[in-house]
Amino acid sequence: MSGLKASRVSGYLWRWWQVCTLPWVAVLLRVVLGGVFVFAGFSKLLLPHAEVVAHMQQYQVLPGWLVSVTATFLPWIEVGSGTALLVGFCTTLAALLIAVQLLIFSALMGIVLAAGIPIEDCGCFGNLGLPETPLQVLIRDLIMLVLLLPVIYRQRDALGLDAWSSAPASYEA
Amino acid sequence: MAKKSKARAQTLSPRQQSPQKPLTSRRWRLKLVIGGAVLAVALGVGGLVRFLQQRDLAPHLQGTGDKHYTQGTAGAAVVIKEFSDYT
Amino acid sequence: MQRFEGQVQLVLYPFALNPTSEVATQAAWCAGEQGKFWEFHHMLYRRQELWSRLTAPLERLIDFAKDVNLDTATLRSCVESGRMQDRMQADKAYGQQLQVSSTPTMFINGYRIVGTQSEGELVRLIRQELNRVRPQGQ
Repeated sequence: MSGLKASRVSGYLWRWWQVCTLPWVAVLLRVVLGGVFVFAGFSKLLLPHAEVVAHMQQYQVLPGWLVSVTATFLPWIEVGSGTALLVGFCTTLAALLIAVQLLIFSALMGIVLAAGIPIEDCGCFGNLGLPETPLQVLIRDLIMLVLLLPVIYRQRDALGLDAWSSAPASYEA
Repeated sequence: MAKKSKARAQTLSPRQQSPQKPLTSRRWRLKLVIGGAVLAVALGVGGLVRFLQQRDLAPHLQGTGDKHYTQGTAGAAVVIKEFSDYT
Repeated sequence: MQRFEGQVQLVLYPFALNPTSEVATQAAWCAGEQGKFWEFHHMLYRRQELWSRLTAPLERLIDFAKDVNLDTATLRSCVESGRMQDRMQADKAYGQQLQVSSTPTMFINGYRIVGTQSEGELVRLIRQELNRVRPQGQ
């Protein structure tokens, strides 16, 4: 019985993988995930630096000096990695960088939830997005992490710079 | 044999005779240029946004000090403007 | 403020983020017309838990106003007249111009600080700014 369930689950997973690794689906995922990070980065850059610091301070997890450093560099990393993923430039590297960010954010939300720290708005999208609770952010980030897999697998797809530059070899004078 | 080689050489097209550059190598370099430019534009826009925001702050901070309740010395070296909510 | 007498000035901009706070802000301005702004201001924070969750806090605030010797009838008519709305909206607009979106936000000269800071941290920042605007020995 449990063997039947396991094979059903693996069947669904396999079907999901087949769909997500269709070229056009992988491109769509790449564009959406890249776009989300570009949006997140810009929304933080639109805020005064002190506001971003204040958003991060509410987590009460990072030491003071690290909050300031993170608030300074995170928006740029988000914009850079998001843009690279969006245009399919160094896709694997961009996707891995985004995956690392998502893992860190997820871990942070996990700590906040475990410690019971009350946070009404994560500040993930500055003043441009809807307020999100840590649980909502955790779920969203884990989903995005999973959706990165087909993007990395299909990184040489059409409509990306990587794909264009790795066309079959031919010669020119 | 030499005659055959010479003949073969003579039948090679100019295209095959000249130095060959792989298209992928040129495209790869172009990819780096285009990708780098896109990144530079994105980061540049971000920098511009931050710069404009900071530039606009100073003149706005100089205004509307009157008709507000104050503590401390008027004309002090350090002026703290506090925006606070009662709830 | 006493620690930095003669060196620092605080300018307060009540920045109401919700309707309850708007009533309190207008009441504070009205208390100021009776020369009791700071007393009312401090009382609002001291008794915050007793009024800040009410959707219509005016009656509670009028009650508290007696403890700071305010003319409650004058206070009530001032708030209900809406005279302080323009002043309150002007402060809100000014705050929005400076991209204030959460409170407390302070500007120590041009340096923005968001969120509640410890006294030690505030003192450090004020000293830092004083050292910057007035070189050593002056």
